[in-house]
Amino acid sequence: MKMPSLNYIIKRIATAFFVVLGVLMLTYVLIYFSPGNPAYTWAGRPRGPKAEEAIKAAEEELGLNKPLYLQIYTHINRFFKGDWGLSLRFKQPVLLVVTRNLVASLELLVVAFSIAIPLGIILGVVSALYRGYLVDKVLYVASLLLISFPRFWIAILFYVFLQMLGVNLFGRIAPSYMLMVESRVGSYIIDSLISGRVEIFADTLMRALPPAVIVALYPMALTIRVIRFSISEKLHEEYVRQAMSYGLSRSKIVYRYALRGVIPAISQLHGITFAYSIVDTATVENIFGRDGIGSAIVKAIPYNDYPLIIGLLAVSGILFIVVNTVSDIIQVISDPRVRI
Amino acid sequence: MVLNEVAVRARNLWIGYEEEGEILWALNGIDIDIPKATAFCIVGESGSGKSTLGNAIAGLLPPYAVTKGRLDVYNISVIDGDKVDYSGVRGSIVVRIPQNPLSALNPYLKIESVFSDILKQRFRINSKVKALEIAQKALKAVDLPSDVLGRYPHQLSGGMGQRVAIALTIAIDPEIVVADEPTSNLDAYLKGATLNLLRDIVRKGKTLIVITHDILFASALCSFIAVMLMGNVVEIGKTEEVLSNPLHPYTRELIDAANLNFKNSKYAINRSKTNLRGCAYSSRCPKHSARCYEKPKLFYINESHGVACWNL
Amino acid sequence: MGVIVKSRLGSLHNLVKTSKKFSIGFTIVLVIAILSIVGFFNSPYHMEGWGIVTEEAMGRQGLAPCLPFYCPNANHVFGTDDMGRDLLSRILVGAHLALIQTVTVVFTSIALGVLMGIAAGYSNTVVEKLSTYLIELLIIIPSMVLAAALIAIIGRGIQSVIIALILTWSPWYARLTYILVRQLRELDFIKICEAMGFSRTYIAYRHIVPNVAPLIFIEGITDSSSVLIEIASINFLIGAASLTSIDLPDWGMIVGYGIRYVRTFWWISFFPGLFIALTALGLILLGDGLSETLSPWLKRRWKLWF
Repeated sequence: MKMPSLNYIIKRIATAFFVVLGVLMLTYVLIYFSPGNPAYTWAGRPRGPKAEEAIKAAEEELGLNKPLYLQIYTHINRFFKGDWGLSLRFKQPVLLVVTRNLVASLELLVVAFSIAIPLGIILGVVSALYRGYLVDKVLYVASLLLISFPRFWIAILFYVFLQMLGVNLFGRIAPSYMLMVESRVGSYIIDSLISGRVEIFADTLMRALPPAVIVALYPMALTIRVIRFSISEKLHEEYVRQAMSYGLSRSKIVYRYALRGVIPAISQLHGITFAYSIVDTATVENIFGRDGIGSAIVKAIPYNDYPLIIGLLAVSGILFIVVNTVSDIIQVISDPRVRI
Repeated sequence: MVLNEVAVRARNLWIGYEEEGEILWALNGIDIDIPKATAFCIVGESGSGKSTLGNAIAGLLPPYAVTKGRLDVYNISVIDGDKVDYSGVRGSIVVRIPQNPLSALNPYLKIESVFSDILKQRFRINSKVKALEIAQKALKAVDLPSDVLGRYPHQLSGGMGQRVAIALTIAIDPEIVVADEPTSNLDAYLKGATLNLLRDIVRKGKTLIVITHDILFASALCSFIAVMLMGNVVEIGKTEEVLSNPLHPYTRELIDAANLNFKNSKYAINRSKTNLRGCAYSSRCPKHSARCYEKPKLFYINESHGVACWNL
Repeated sequence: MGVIVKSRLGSLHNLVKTSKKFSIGFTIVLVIAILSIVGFFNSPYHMEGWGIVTEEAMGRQGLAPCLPFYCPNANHVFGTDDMGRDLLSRILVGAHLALIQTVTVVFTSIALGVLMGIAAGYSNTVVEKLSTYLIELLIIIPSMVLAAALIAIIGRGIQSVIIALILTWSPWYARLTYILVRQLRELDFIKICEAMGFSRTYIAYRHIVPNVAPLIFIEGITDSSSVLIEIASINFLIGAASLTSIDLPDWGMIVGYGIRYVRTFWWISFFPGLFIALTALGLILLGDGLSETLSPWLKRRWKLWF
């Protein structure tokens, strides 16, 4: 098995570093474009009796009397030292808020993608093999609808449906269980498993499944479409025709020849859909009342919680790079021609 | 042609492709008999239907192909009207040698996996060791070192790829080998080497069907030649008969072109307007006459030499 | 490349005739467009549609929609929202917002992306390095979080969402353009132009843009349904975050604001969402029809033959 070269890993880490640098510079410069006093924006547009005080504190924190490059330098320096400031909404360090919500979102995303990828591949292959038959037509229309219907809308329908059945799956964990698990990773699913509480594990997983299914719809539908398209394309390729001429069986041609060639494309696809799924996750989290990046943003918007938003930007950027690195590595392993 | 041992027999074979509701016919009612244990060349320009005929024999017609007539391979009916069934023929009786061997090998698999996949299927064996034994023997026959087995297709050169493709064919040991433009991507030296390897296949008593536009290569390799034009066989016969006594004006044109004799050559225009029911060559034929609006049948002047032309 | 795209597509009339998907998509989008124009000027309760809470509206808060067998008030087919405003009017008035946001984002991103891609692919190496870095950076930033940042800076409003989406969609087109330009600049007709001493700006304008633009344009149309949904999703979050009732009749915001009432007044979220879904469906069919016409073998009926 081929592994990525050291050169590649160094390059990836450098990219991550420069991206965070870019995000920080961008967000800091953006403040200066804001109408009015930057300190006013930084303090979250305060109103009322304590406004004066808050603005003064923000001015001090930003160091507005120093030259711009020095301001940016301190800003970046502080960030890399782990001091991400205080969230205006949560009154807690941003780093803490971000990691807590990130773990919650990842929990949902991991469950969603482990539903989406296998199911998408299986259905996509079925669709490609029975192209033009009823199964394919149904799958095609279904995937078209799943892509074009907003996931938050499907989630609302699903949620109302569950309510009508009398199933309440609001939140990440039943309130009565909340204090019974010791927090280690931050994910209730994993924490309950570590502490061996099966009933809590079942409860948290049950609560994660419906929103995860909704988040999974988009990547799954896209996988079906891409596989359907590219398997048909691969079946046109010379090497598949030649394999037929050598008398290989149908299943062998489909799985070992056509599907094998699709894996790099699927891996690349999910590197990209991941970013898009974060938006879906955000809306679905809100509907199902779960913590996560999405609900953090919804809570941050009314308070103009700028430090929290910067933290979220940087972290989701790093997350994107990590996911794409994994997707790159899968491509290298699955395609002998690619080298990185 | 009267022969007892026939490898491929086509009777009024029509093959077309469905293109947006219309059917474009690539083969217009072909009758052909290919004898066993010989090298048989099908010569023609691009678009003459020679590749379609090759694919029909090898069982590689695309799913949107439309068929009429009959095609038998080794007395097994593969095309009968619109019924197409190649099970038991493809990969055991007929194998195709690809035009571009490098794109015809699965880029994601090592050569040894290609060999073992195919041989396990062909001889119904389960052990990889046994499959690789056959593979090594086949590679030896084409003068390739056995370390080729550990490589991926993109690590091979064009000539090696061609030899791997031939080695695969030898390992499968089919009765009929269809070679589609086997030398179009090779330089002169490799062309010669490939020619020798293909001759070896015939020497083993196999039927070799070569599809080529290169009449010189065909004459060097084959004992029979069929000349095709726009979906019809216009001349067929033993190589020496056809080359020494070309009867159809199109065959003459091909031979002149191969001898770099371009005195009578000119660009044909309005070729697409050729009447399907008439002679395909009529629009550029110097001896064109009124009868040419009717399609000529193959007319045998002796046991093996046939020509489809009204003006003999 | 560009010419091939144009010749394959032919006229709009031809497309509608040959591609069933395209014609369905085209019809849906056309209907929504007509509705948006009509709704902009007139709707049953026009003032309420624009978000003004009239006195009579106060009396009918959360009126259920007209369903078969149950119709509390035939004047409000889709029911009324939490402030008693007629939902149908709000959807009609909001239609133009959805279309304008999508069209603005798609076209501006394409223009910006092509510009950025050509700058990256067809100028000196310093610009190339800088542009590719900028493209990579912007691709990585999630639109939703960027929109939140812009809201904190320039305030709530659709302009923040639009800018955020333009900034995150244009790098995709820039990357595509960059890849295409890198292929193009190696081709002979560009090299000949360079050897003849034409300026790079002229070559870019005269030869590269016409070859790249149609492909990017098709890509943009295919993406437009994703853009619409992304806009709606972000507006949903803004709506969900809003502490006071939403006045702007944006579909996504109405859905988002409505989820707090989803257990009782489910229709506030349901009907605007239905319209988003329909519009997105129309756009995706439009894009599918286009790409199938461009690569005709996609359409070919397949039976497995082996």
